[in-house]
Amino acid sequence: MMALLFSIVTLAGALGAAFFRHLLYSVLALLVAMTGLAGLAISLGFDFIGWAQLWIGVGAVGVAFLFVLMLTRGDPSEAESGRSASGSWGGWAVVGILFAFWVAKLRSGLYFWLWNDSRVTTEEIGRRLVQQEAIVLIAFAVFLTAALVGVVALCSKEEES
Amino acid sequence: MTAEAYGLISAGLFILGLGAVLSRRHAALTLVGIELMWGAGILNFLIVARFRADAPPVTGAMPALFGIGLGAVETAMGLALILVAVRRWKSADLTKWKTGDSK
Repeated sequence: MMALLFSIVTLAGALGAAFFRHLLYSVLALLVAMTGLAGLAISLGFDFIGWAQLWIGVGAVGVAFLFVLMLTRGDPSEAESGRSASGSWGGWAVVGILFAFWVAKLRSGLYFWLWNDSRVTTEEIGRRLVQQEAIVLIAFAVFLTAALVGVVALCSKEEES
Repeated sequence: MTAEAYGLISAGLFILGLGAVLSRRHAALTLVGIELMWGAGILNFLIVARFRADAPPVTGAMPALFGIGLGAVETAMGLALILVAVRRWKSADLTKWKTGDSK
């Protein structure tokens, strides 16, 4: 029941994000979709992943989007946040064909997969992160720092020029 | 819910994201589409981890966890690039970036 509810929330949010013409509404719909995704992760038994998605995917990403919307507020092109007339139909036609193909593949491929009942605890994820995945975790931390420095350098360089 | 049902949700999410990327002109809205596709990818990892009995579910949780972090990095980089581009071309319209048109 919970999974069904979160599925509806996710798809409704995604529909809003893809179709709302107003920039702010589109971003808010994205946050709804991300919240639904977090709920789906929890309903699948990955509690920690669900909460991480909620904090990072909804909180951090949402705030970043809203900051950029505020900073580009004076931009006159904000008003033209809709879809291009010619590109819109072509794009959605391609998407429709892909979706039909994908559904056909899904029906033949996933039907016999069975629910694996063991739940994933935070302790298990933590142990895995500092043991088997320790190198990946360190590399990831370095990558995050490099990305942060890159973003700051990118923005400050433009400010000077 | 079955793996098939979760797979359909993931497919729907990805397709809507792809549609947004292909049909929007505003750079931030294109990034919104990329975020939706990214979310579908993370959900796929979790579905496979949960429904495949030949590996412990935590195996699939790891790429999903790193994927969430990478998604935040991708968004931050994307938004920074959008800010720089808007300052340069005075427009968030992707078609104007492509042609180098400046207002």
